[in-house]
Amino acid sequence: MQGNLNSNTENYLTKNSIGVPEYKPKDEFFKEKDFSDKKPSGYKREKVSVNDALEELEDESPLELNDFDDGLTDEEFKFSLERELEKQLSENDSSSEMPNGHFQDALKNALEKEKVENEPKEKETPEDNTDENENENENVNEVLGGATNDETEVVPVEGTLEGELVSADIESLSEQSPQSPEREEYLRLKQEFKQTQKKYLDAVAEDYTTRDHVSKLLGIGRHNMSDSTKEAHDRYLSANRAFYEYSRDSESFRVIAERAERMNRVNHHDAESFSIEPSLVGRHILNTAEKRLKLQTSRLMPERLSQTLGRVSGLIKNHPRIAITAGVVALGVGGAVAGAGAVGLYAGKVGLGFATRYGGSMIANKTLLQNKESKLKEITDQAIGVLGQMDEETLERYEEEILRASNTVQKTKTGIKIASRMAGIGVAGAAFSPEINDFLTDAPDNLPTGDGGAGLGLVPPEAPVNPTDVIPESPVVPEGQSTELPVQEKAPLSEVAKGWVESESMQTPSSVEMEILHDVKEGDTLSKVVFDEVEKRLTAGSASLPDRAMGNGGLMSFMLEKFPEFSNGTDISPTLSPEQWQRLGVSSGNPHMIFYDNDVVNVDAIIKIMEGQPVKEVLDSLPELENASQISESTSMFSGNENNLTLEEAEEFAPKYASDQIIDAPKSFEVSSEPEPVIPLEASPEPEAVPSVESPVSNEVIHDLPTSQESINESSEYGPYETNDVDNASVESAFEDFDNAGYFVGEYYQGMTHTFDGETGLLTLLSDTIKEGLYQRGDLAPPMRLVSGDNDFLGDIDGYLYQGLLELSGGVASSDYVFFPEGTVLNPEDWEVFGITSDNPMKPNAGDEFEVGKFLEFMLGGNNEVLLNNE
Amino acid sequence: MSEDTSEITLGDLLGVEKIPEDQRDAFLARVGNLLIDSSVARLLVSLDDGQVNKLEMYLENVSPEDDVFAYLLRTYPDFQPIVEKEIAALHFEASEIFGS
Repeated sequence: MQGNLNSNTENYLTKNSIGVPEYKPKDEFFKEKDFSDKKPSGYKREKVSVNDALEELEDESPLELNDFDDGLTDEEFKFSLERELEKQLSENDSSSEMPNGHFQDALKNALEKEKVENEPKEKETPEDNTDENENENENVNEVLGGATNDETEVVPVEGTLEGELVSADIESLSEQSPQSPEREEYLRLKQEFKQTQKKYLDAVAEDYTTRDHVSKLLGIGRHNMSDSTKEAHDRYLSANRAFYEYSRDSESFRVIAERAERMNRVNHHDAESFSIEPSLVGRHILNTAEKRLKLQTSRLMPERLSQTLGRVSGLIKNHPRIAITAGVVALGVGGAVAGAGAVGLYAGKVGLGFATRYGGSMIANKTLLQNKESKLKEITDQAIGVLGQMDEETLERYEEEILRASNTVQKTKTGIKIASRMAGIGVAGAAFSPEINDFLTDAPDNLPTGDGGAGLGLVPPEAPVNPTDVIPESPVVPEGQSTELPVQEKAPLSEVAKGWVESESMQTPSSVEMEILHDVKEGDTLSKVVFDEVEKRLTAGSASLPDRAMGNGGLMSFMLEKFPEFSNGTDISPTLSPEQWQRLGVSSGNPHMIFYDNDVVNVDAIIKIMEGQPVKEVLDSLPELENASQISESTSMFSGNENNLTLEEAEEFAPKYASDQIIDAPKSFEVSSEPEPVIPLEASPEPEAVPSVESPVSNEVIHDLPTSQESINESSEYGPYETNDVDNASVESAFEDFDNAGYFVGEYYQGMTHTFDGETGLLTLLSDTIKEGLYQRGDLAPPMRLVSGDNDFLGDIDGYLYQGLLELSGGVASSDYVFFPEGTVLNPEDWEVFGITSDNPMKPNAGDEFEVGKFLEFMLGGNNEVLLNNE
Repeated sequence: MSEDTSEITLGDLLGVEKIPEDQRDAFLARVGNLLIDSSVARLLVSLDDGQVNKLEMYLENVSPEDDVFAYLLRTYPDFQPIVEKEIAALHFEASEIFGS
């Protein structure tokens, strides 16, 4: 397909000596086609090309253009053009027919203008010239000849009022001149395409009336069609393909694309190139599928189901991002197409089910579109409200507005690209998305080499990012990730870092948007900072790591192998000494302890060491550390410390933090020096003995939670529970070792409470809150362990939440523990910490003030320290 | 480059990468809507009356902000296979026409 063509040339279509269509420059064309000696014979034929009309349009002032466009905005006009093109391509008759509406108006306007200008000449033109008229016809045929299917020449034809415009369509031309073989073939193929399409749809309709199992007939697919319908489908596909290939290989697509692009530029001066691909896909694929679906739903589905479908469609159209994301996932396109790397990465991940890819893409996409979604919604609200009684034209008008809003969104997405490239993956405000993490560790196997990640769309080759498109206030830049290149002029830098910036950033090609220095932000952990940067470089093909680092989970293991001090282990041999870590920007000398708004870590140097460069060589290449002492005097906070401890306070806990910050173990858990267990330990459950209620979200049977520690232990109502032999220390250890990589909960949830009304259940509240965070707010992400391996939290949030509550009740088989270390059970006192006084936590009492944020930290983040705070 | 056409995505076949960004969203939405509508249609006719009643109840009470499509995916185990079959069908059709 030839969609994006350079339309700067003023070429006119003609035929060469052997009848093959070719383009000639405007001047040359008119020189050869000098009509000055032509004599009209009873009618006037003026040659006004599309290009002339467009030139005339370009001369118009914006106001005049608006008037000219019947008040349509640029975007509306552009959308109209797309529709016109598609319509033009889809019409049964010649595609050389003039498009209706604005485009035709433009030509009409241009022609009338030219007519006025040429009027004196016309008066001088001899009246009688039959022979010349024949020549004129030849000229017209030449202009339209060959494959000039869509090169429209507007001519007043004989028998019409002077100046009246008609299109020089194929029928009129055929009366005046013989068809070229190319054109005849084109028309034949097109006619065959249309005929087979109609027969296919008729056969589909016939199937509906003769076959009972309607469920097998709905949808795009052809399975379970009747044999006759399959035959019709085969013929349709064959004709469709032949027509497409002929068109593709002819000049017609190029002509249409050129014209469309010119028109687009007239109305949208800063527009990118215009593509005809959507129109082609529409004609050859989507139109038929849409017609078939319409046929199916209108003729086959019971009215009730049809109405239900309409309601579902309406609700989905309420959020254009849903359809867009579904489209992205269905097409399996990369980030370049998806507009954001993470979306594309999710969409293209092989081996995942659609639901997971969709869920992941929505998470990645959600915050991206959040700000603009309200605008989209406003527009779609209007459309939804009157859907069904709206004529097609009005509906298209709404669609135009939606498209315009989508284009606005697109600008946000463009801006996000920079952030995406900087962050590698995390566009959703979440620290990073676990599933993307999985993918990225596999990425090198899937990446085309040498394209700088373009294959995955991180750097769209066809759409260079314009830095001016970045929306500074965009909320989607992951916290802790800069949208700037390594020269972090805006960020406060330590003296050491400044030296690095001056030396290193100058060596960094601007095209390689790797982070050399990382200005530590609140919430960062060093391991995550390094991990993210390595992922990004792997995606871009700019990191050199051994194969064992590429597999699932391999990168994390490799990091620990290269830097054992990243682990929580006590008997390890660190790769770097505290002094060396200081050289790399970790002011404390302890990689588990970094300070935000103070430390600027040289991640590039760390990665070089990971890649195998000798430590000494790497460190020697760094500027001298001169003012390290200033660092410890900083008033900055511990990175990731959510309690806003001062530096001094934090340092008191340094030994504790030294074992908690890495690999996203629960951050503050070890702050507690209390020997008392915070989680009562329970026995192996017998879930079948747990009383059941119906799940609000499915037909599953849900077991009520045991109401207390005592009841768990003693009440036969919940079955006998054996004493758990897991001691307190082991549970605490299990919490420490919990891998919460990827877990993120935004500030919004800190301190969040909910007062129950006695009606709403705990599961419902949690489900709603988490889904809102995942899909609407974009400020919540589950840990990787819940969305990788055998777990698919995103695919069944309600089910997993229920599982988690079962775990807390002890009503779960030990092998099924997902959220918590085995044996973790809450007693009534624990539930009261979260504000629930009910005997049955699943059904809180009215007035119970539930500590939502605290519970999320506990359940998703594995932070059992929250249980210590019973305020 | 492998000759295995299974590696060619639907997006490859449809030439999505050639579409400028400012046209792309509308195109993706069109494909997405077609996919969703056709899949939901198939799902609906596979449900029994009770399930339809339950779905309608959900639709009555659904929040305007809810992602109905995601709800269907997580609520009806058969829906994901339906969606994937619809994608496969679209892929087949595109391969037949654009796959040369």
